[in-house]
Amino acid sequence: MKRTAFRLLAAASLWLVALGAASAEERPRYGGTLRVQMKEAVLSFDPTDDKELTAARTRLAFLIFDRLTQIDDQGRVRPQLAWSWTSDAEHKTWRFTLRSGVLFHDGTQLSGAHVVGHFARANDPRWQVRLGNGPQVVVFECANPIYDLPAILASPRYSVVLHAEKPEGTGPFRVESWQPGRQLLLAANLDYFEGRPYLDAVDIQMGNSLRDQVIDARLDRDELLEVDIEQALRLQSARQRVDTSSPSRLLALVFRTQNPALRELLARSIDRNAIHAAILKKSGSPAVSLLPQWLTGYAVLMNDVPDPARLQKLRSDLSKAAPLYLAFDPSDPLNKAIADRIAVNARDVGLTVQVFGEKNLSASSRADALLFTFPAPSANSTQALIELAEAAQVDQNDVLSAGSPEDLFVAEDSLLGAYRVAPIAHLPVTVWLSTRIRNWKTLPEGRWRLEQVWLDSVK
Amino acid sequence: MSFRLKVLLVVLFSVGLSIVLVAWQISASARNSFDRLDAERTAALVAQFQKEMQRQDTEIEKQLSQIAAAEAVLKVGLENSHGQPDFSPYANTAQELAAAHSLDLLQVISADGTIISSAQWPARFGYKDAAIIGNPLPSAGFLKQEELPEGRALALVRVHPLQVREKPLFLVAGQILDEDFLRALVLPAGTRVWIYRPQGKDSSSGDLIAATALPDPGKISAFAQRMQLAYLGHQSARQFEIVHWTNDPADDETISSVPLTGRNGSLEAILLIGATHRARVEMSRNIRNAAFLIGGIVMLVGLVLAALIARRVTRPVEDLALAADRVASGDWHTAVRVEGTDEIARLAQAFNHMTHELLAQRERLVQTERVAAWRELARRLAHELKNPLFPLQITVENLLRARQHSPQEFEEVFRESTTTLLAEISNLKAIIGRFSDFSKMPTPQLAEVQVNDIVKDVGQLFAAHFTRSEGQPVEARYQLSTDLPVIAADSVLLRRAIENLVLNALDAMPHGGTLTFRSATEGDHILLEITDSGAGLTAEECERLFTPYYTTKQFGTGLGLAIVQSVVSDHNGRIWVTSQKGKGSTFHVELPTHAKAVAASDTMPARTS
Repeated sequence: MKRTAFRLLAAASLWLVALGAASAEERPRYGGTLRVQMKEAVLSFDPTDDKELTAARTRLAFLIFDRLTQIDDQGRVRPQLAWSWTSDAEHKTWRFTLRSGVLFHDGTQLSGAHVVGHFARANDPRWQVRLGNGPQVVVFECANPIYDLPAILASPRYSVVLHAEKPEGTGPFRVESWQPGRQLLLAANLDYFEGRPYLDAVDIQMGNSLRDQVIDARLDRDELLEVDIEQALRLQSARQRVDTSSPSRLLALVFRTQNPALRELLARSIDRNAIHAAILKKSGSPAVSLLPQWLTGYAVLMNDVPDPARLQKLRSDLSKAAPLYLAFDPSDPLNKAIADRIAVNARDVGLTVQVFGEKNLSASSRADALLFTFPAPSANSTQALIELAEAAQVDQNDVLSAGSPEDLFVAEDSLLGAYRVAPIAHLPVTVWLSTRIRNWKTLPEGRWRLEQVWLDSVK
Repeated sequence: MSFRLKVLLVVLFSVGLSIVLVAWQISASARNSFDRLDAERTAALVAQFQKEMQRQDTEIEKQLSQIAAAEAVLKVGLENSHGQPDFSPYANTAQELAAAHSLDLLQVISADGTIISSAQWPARFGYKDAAIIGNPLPSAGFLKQEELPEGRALALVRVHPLQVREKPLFLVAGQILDEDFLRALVLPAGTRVWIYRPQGKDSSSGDLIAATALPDPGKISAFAQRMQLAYLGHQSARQFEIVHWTNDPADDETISSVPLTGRNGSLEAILLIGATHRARVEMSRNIRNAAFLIGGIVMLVGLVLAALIARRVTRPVEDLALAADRVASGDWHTAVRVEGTDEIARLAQAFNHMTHELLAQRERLVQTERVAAWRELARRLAHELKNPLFPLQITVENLLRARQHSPQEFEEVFRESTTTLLAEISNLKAIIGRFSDFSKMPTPQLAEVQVNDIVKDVGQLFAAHFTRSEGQPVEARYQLSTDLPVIAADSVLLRRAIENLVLNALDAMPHGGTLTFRSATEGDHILLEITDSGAGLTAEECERLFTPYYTTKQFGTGLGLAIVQSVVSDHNGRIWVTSQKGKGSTFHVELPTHAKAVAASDTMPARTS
């Protein structure tokens, strides 16, 4: 009996020690510098300039800048710099009331004038922005009804930037030093209106190859880095800490050729399942829609049934089509494999597709089509579709006027019907994490929320 | 060209021709040797190519055996044995295995021909390639044009079947025959190798695989295309061709072709072997240079020897020729030295005999002519002197008769007789004077003379005679050349000759007629023609006309035309007459235009025609 009591006491003691250790592990810890490796060499962290808003720049925008609204984990629109908003019945006039006491990183207090000036500089034809009743009220006068303007304004594209000596934001981190394309050192914004981040700093190294990044990670030089699908599989098999988001990035062909039949024939020829299974190693999902199923719920309704008669007609119409040049980003070896597979599929329908690597895809002058990976846009379907439409440079009016999921479905179906963009797969965002990183939470769209992360003291 | 020079040239030509023939024979032999060498090198290269292919095939087989035992393949095989296999995890298997085993090509193919994984074209997973595993499976490697993303490539391919859980699986591996493969071949010196890969079965175009850059690969490709058509039976063609890369023959290359067939005897490629001509051209150049050098030396030696031989052979002939020239120029006392007993010696003896006979005959002829001349002179003198002597005799007899029979008339007879006697004596003196003049023809004193002027002067002198009152007048016509050159002549003698010709013409036209003076230039002579319209002469008269003391006239001395001929001969000219009975006669006088000729002729005997 005594022995049994002793055993129970020992077990209880061990449980308490373990519980204490666990509590200590979950307890937030301020301080430390998180070292991050990003594949892309970002040349500008200002999300409002004319450059393409890539995935890396999107991530940086979320760290340095805020928007009037934000999308939460569930895809709902939440206040950020704007405390509240209202619209008229026609959804053409929107009034946003700004938070008080928000400071830019240089100490300037955010006001409605800053927001108006910021949007006036952007000169978006879809709306006019003016001050409302009071310095913290901003009014958007839309040319056409926009049913979900707050969701749209949650895009990093509409980050509020104070253009002083350098772009200043109100985000959780401020820029400490900046070497374009090489390094961005961020320091915690101690005055952040939602409270200071746990981390003291974030040291972001850029432009290294994925292979180098993995080597650095293995050598414990970094704590966070983005990895591609194959690396993620290898790291997982090596029992490394890998975090994968929902399939939110869209891998698609973006056509530049003006021949609609050619676009349709090539889009229809793609064997998406084979690409998904063999090349993407079943990571993500084959895509026939712009937005993933988990985001809209209607992707399964998109038509992906093979239509041999249609294919035959397109083939006969394009019997003497000139070779089509397909450009891909050579930094990810999977892109070449996918492009090659598309070329092989195209041969089956009589098309000659010549693939070539192009570092700067958007600037490619000879490409008839681009194998493009759109960054994960948002957890909000409306905002996500608008983001994709903007990125793909296709008409988005139907999306802007979509007031319901049904409208959004119709709008997306209409976008797809033009065969300007041919979805191939939805891919997750995958990162490798050091075991020191705590409170990491993967957002569905793959966004990093570094302001909520802290580092374990033990290295 | 002299005989000696001819002999010399014949000897030199013979020597030169011999050298050329020898050089040509050597060159031809060298060329044949090089042709044989090229054929041997080509055969050696083909053998080495086949050996290298065999080695590659063995290596592929070895690698395939190892791959077949690999765990990754075993996994694929196990998946293959499932009812509904999912090969997607193995799409990269072939790439990894090919890289690990240094294979250019590797495909894992299921029993139904589905490509499970492809190293050379990873994107082709899931596609069918049933033909490669069709029965019967080849036991060795074979050539195949493999489809790659960037186009076709020629490859040596081997199929390796294996069974996993009684389900067949096929490994198809190979190596691409590219530039590196060609570089790995150990080529005989002076050879190169290419592989021509037709683009399609019936296509006449293709790609050239070359280990080194070519200045103009189109030349090789064009030949290969012809070979391709020939092998496909579309046309006939030679198996080799000479390609001229530059203007230098040393850069030429003989390209031979060898067809490379695939699994079912299909033409997969053409092996092209180039053998440079540099060695043979350099050899030919060396032979030619040696021939030139040796030929030059031999020609030089031959020249000396030929000169010596020619001199020995031709000297007697030259002596004969010189002697003949001397005889021709009048030196009939010439004799040649007779050496030996050969044909040339007999010819020399005959020549000496001939000149001796000529001298004897000339002596006899001179004596005969001299006797004849004296007889003629005696006859003429007798004839000429007899005519005046008869009146003298009659007159003297009249004087004697008058003195005896009628002294009272003697005075009158005496005066008449002395007058007659003086006249006849004067006549005798004139006759004797003409003979004296002929014997004393002076040597011409040469000066620049215009013959036309002399002709005109003579015409002027005889103008009165042309319009004589008795008988019919003579019409003088002048057809004188306006560009007659000045000649070197004695104007006095020439005038005298022309006067004699005019007098002769006037005598031939007692009833008047036409006297034509004609002058012209013919080569290096001037030609003067004096034509009358008299009775003409017979052929016999023409032949004898210039013989001294021959005359056709009743009172002529026969010395006029002899004097003319003497003057013309002294000017190194010639005179002849043409005549037709009843139509007049023409005297042709040809005189040299060059003073030298005349001056030179001064030392030579006058020619007669």
